[in-house]
Amino acid sequence: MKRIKEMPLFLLTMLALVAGGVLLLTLPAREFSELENRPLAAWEGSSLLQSGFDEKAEKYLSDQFPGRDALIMLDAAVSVTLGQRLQDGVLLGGGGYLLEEPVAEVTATARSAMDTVEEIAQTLQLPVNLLLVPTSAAALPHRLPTLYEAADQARVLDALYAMAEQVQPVDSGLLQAADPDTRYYRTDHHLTAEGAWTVYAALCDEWGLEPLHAPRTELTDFRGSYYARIPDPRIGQETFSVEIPAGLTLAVDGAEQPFLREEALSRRNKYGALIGETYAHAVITGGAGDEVLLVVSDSYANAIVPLLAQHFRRVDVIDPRYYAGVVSALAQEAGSTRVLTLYGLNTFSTNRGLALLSIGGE
Amino acid sequence: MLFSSITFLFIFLPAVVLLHAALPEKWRNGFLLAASVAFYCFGDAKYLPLLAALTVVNYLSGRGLAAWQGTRRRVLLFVSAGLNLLALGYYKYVGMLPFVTEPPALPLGISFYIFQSLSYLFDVHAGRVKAEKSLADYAAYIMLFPQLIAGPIVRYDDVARELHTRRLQPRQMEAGMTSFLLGLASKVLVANELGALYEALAVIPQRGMLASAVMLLAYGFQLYYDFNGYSLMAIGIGRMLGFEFPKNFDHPFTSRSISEFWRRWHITLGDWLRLYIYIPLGGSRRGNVRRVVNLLITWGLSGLWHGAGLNFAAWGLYFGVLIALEAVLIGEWLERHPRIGWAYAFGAVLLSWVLFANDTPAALGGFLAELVSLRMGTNVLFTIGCFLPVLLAACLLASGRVCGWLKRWTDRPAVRVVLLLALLVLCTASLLRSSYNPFLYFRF
Repeated sequence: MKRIKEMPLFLLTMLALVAGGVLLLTLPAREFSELENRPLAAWEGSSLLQSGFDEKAEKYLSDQFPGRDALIMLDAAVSVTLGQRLQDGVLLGGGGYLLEEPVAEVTATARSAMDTVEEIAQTLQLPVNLLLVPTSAAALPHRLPTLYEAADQARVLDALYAMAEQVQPVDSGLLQAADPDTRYYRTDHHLTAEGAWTVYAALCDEWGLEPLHAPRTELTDFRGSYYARIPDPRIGQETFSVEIPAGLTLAVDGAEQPFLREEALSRRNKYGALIGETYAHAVITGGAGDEVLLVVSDSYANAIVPLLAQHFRRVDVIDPRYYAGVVSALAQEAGSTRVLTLYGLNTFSTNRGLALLSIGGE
Repeated sequence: MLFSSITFLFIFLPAVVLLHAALPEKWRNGFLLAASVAFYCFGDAKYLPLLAALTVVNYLSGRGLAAWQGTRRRVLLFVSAGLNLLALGYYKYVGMLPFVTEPPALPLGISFYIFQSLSYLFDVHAGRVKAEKSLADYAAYIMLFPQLIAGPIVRYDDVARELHTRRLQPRQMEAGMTSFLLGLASKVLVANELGALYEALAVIPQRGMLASAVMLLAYGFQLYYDFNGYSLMAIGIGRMLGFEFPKNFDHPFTSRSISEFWRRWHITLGDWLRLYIYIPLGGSRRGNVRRVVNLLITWGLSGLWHGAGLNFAAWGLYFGVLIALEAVLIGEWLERHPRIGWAYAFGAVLLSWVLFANDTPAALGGFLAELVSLRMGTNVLFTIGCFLPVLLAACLLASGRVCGWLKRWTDRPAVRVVLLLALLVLCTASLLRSSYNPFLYFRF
């Protein structure tokens, strides 16, 4: 008792450290973090003296630390409370809006991606459209944090579109849309059902089609990809919304499935339930019309292609990050009559997946 | 292994401290030696042979210096010190030679343990301490993990008594844990954030005067809270193991002259340079001209100790010039005008970081150009605003008065326990967040 009175901090701290260490070493290892959307480190077995052992050990122990998610959310909340309005490339704006820092200039990756899109047009000899979706930071300047000056995405878009030769750029219409708050999620980089409709309507206008509404699905308890960057638990959940026409059939990487995957609906990031997260090739059939559309895209397309598919006999969607096939061969096999390249502007400017696409045509 | 890591906090530290306390006293040094070797080798044992070889050489040299007399003794000191300096010179400074294109990697802690070893040899030679008879005890002293890789530079005299006989005192262990947690918070919650502020401002194109000045402030405070944090952690662990390591920082930003600053900043290095370089050169005993020369040599070497680059030598000489000026001209005037003295010392230290942080003429020129530019880059105010609370806290906590006020509160056990445990939780959360790696696009 005397010892406890003389060294309470030492004893309590040691108790906490020992408890943490014992739990770390005895609890079963977690395989996946839903908060971070990635697999967690597994212990592969290594020698204490082997080079890099310290990094591997630290990575494993950090990933498997008991209560990791809760502690990370605590740190995010403390950072926000202390005034941090920019964490991991995401801004915390007014009204609980999370907005991604926009790319400030035409990057080398974007130039390379433009070259790839032009090559698609030249090789396939089909009409090719390019539509780049600006991030919410451009469309929602009133939501930006105080004193923050966002890069001019309209200027970057104009500069990229001016580089197009055979490719036909399409303006998404998002920067001119009324009520822009409804077009973007507060906690995710994708478009809401209203935002997807805006882009869909712009494409219909370009192609002379009459846009058609479809039955709408709404799911609450949604916190998207930006929340993974600033996981402050005080940032409220929102509603995930998507329009999915009836009568369409979806096959992802050869297997038929519903547009909204049941097994993914219970997760925090509901957008991942729409079509898929890491698919290479999806095919949608059952729409009216004789044309066949080939879409080269990142995940922005997932909320838009169901609406587009109403007007096409077949829609092929490929994600260059995972698609290992040859584009020209796919276009020939599918009978594609039109190509759409649809990307978020930030991904187009920073992700090298598009440049690695095999176009073929030799 | 870093002190501020999950591995150290939750596995290594509790295991070593508790096992050390549980062991009989005669086994403790051997256990500490084994633990220190494990700490040093964790993830890379490549440089253990060098450390082990130098430890054996220095131990034997110490025994020889104690036993021999006359010329043989002086030669032994020259050879043993020379071997240590050769090792330091090769690993740390050979890259400065123009024909060396692939310099060797720097062994962990070499600057600290070589200086520690040299102090032992010089002290034995001068008769200030008796040579250590046990190789295991000597090795435990040199390799003691709390201070092996980042100091404080512990002279043998500081720990000789505890090395042979130490009883673990509850109050000392409590003070040690207090010191350790304060150091951890200093490093993780303050220093790391200030480093992030520096990096965030550094990438702003054409950032201008305000951003550059704040960068210097952030850089200087980051160095302080990082280094002082580590020193506090080392001192804290030392206390938990029964050792009293010397203080290494004493509110340096309250200094009213550069001389005072260097009596408060990295105190153990300052003491080492004074004892083993400045005083043997003659110190201030041979007139002002020689005094100035001795100061310039000592501070030039101090600069080089901090880094193998001409900018570091220039940084050291910068302080040497100021200290020389104070010694022969303005010192007494500064003492009579403490507020001006504080402003001068703070400003001079702040400016010194320009040399410390920019290691090429191009980088230095670029930084100075931005420092005098009246323009302001995009989002400078926003960026500073994001870090303002931690920057203000860093400024306040650097004040002796504020720390004194805080200490009066934390002397109350309940307050101390709650506050420091809360800091441990926040530090753990911060460490986990720094390993946090969400994939924004990978799954989409």
